[in-house]
Amino acid sequence: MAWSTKQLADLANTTVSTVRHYHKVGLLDLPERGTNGYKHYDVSHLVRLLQIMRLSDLGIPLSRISEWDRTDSDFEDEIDRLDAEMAAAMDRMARVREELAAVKRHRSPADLPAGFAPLARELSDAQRAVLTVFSAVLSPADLDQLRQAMSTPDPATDAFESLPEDADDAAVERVAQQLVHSARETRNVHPALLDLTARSPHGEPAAQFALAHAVAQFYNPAQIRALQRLDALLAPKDPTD
Amino acid sequence: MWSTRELAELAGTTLRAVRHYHDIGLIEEPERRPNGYKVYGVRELLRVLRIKRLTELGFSLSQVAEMAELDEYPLDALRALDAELATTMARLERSRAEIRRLMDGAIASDLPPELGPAAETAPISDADRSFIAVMTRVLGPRGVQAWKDLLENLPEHPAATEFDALGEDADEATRQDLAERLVDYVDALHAAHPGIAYEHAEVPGGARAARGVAEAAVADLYNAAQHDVMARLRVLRPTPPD
Repeated sequence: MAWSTKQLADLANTTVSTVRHYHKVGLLDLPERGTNGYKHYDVSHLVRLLQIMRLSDLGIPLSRISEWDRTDSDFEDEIDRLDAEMAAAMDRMARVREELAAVKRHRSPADLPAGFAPLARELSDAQRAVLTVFSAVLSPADLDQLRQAMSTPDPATDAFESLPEDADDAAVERVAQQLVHSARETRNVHPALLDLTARSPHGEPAAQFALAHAVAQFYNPAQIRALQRLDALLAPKDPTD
Repeated sequence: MWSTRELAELAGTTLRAVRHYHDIGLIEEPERRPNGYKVYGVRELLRVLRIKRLTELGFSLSQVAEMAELDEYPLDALRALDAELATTMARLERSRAEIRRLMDGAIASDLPPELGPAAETAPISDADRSFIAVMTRVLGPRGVQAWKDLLENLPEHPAATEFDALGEDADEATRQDLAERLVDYVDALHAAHPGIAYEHAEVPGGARAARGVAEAAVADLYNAAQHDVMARLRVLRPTPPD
């Protein structure tokens, strides 16, 4: 008794094209042909086919399966690499699961940058947008500094966020002074915050360009004036003045 | 402000990805410069960054497209993603454990994983291993379980060892003697594990198909003397009525 390709595939619970593919890559020997010219598979083919499928299910590349019976160190290295890849994939998945859990717990928008879920409730749309740009242009370490700094409530930030479009110069100046005060305090705790973009992987000019455009798009003219004033107040005094 | 390439670099993604987002309508066509080049702004940068973040969490692009129109918080989607990850991680862990056991030679890769580690240590011949590998394809889950139980509790028996080593040229007296000594052993196996027989197959085609496969396997795997011993066993052990 002998099986056709279709019968063999059915027995192994796979498809005819899979069987053909294994022939093509040289993993499965071609069977003899019967007097009618059709392929005749026997048990050895089925056993081999099941073995290939099993190893392939485990994530072992087809190119390495033919060497499964060998025990040279190259092959063992390859399996070690495969194992390390699987371990790394699992680590990544575990991290994503942690993030999903944080997003769910805080009911925060899922598209907020990683790690900011606990702060989501206090953030304005503008802050979320700018934060998203920050997440692209900052180094991971600097982004982490920013996250820590933002975890502390800051009245100056609140005042800035609620500064209306038609605020007069006095109101803008008050907010700028509050921001300067807050910035000087922050400087002691998170010194990195004062020159975040200096270490941007994209380069400082590109990072500042992107941030400036994000701020321009999401903040009103009064708020932008307050930020410009803040820059001026924080700029080091020229000793020759 | 930014070209497609600059946008992709800034967002930490590829040119291809940005173009694909365009093609499927996830980001709108940006304005163009007088020279015809696309020019992207903050709006598109934010869009790409948000798509990237959502896909990193596991959302599909079609889910990302739908999310903009959602009125309620996508709690179910978040739960589903988490469950999917948990399943994938469990599967990876099983694969890793299995690969380690395969590497240690603790299990043989020609037998299905459902048979468990007992399949390696059980005192059976290569022919038996292949026969069992084939039978597990045609018996259904209960048949596989029956073989697993058998392998875990397989007693060593001198007659069984002799059968494995039986030469093709064994004379008739030897074959008859061996068959007679195997009767009790084989009876006991079938009494303890009725599910191993093809009569109990639970797959499409049932016992008929399973019998055909079992016979093909026996014909391929065992030699003429072994075939003869099996034939004699069938005479000595008439099938009991159901």
